[in-house]
Amino acid sequence: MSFFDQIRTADTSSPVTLLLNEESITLNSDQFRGKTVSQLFGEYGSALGDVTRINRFVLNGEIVAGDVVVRAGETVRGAVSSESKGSV
Amino acid sequence: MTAITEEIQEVPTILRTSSDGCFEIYNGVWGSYLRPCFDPEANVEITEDHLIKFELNENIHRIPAELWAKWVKLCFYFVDKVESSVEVSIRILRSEEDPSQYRFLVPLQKVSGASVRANNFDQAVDIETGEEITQYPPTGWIPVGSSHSHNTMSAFFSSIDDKYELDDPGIHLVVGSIDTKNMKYAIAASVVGNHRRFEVNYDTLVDATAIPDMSFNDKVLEYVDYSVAPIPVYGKYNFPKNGTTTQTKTDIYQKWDNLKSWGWSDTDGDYTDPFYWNDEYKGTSSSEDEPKLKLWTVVDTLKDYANQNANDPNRLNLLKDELNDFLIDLDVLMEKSDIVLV
Repeated sequence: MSFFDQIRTADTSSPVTLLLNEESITLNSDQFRGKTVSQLFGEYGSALGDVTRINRFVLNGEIVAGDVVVRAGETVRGAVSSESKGSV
Repeated sequence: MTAITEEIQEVPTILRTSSDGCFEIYNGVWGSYLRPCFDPEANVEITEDHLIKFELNENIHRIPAELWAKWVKLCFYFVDKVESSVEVSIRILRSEEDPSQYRFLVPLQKVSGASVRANNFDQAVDIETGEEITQYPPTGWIPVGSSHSHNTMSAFFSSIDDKYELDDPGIHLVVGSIDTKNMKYAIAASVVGNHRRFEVNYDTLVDATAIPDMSFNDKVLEYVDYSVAPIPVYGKYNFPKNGTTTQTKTDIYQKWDNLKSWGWSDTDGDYTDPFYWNDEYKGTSSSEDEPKLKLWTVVDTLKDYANQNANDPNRLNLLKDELNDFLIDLDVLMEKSDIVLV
């Protein structure tokens, strides 16, 4: 069997959803397997916003630390928690 | 021996990755390997014109007039009832169960005539009920955006607004041109997504029908600090500018002293950037005819800036954010270079 025959196709069942506010992206199991909340936002969340400013994570309705490992079918929401505004 | 050409596949296998594009298994003359390829099934070309388009959903639940009126009342308060008009900011949330239910939280904030800084939304108060929040976002509520006031200045999205709002998807609105005599104001409204702002008519997001006698909860006033920071006095200092110019901090602060409030001016072009005193001192990209900067001068300048603004949390926080952004740029630079760290 060739090495290239061993390339697996992505498993799209039971995806994980990352949200920033109400914007979301969906990750398949190859993307989220074994990774923590912080790792997932760091690797895949940049389309949503500036993930370096996210300092609060909510997993299935509960606030969690960034080092929690995400499992199939879960939804993780990030929230920024500081801001500056101005008219200049 | 079998001819190698017989082994080359007529139709290459396309492997589509989630973020790294398409690859094909290329069966070359000497062997097979993966290589990036164009997607043979690509069926569209996206242009800049496509990217600026935005279609608002028709079934949006607008912010109700009663709640909006309370927020507008707070904006007017900080124009009419304080000595010098200041800005103020809120966070907009809505119920996880019922997206038609909105809630406005006023985070603990330091405000000036032209700026707002909220360090931590974990200290906030509900504009309607006065309920104090110690954990943001509160259970059952989803942050969906923000609004802030530009007091008597026009309603628009400034560069600082962009810096913070473009990374915070949702709805963002500015209340401005507040005229307390004629009880008029303006709204700039937008939807932010994927680091882009799409400006929309305010009445698609807000029911701004005026409702007399609506007011915010008085507890809110404890969360907005508009006290003026004292302007510190400094001695002579060699301020490096390409290694040639000497200027005293006193000179610089005499200019600063002319600025509106303790923030920065909205009228003087030289001071529109809060990070630099004027264009002369804006960051310069390195070029061959510029002398090499010494690391100690850079560090000294940063320390000095922090000390100068020790009483100004807005400027300190903006400096911190700039440094955090710079760390990311630095990582990119280091990745591009061939330096091996030992």
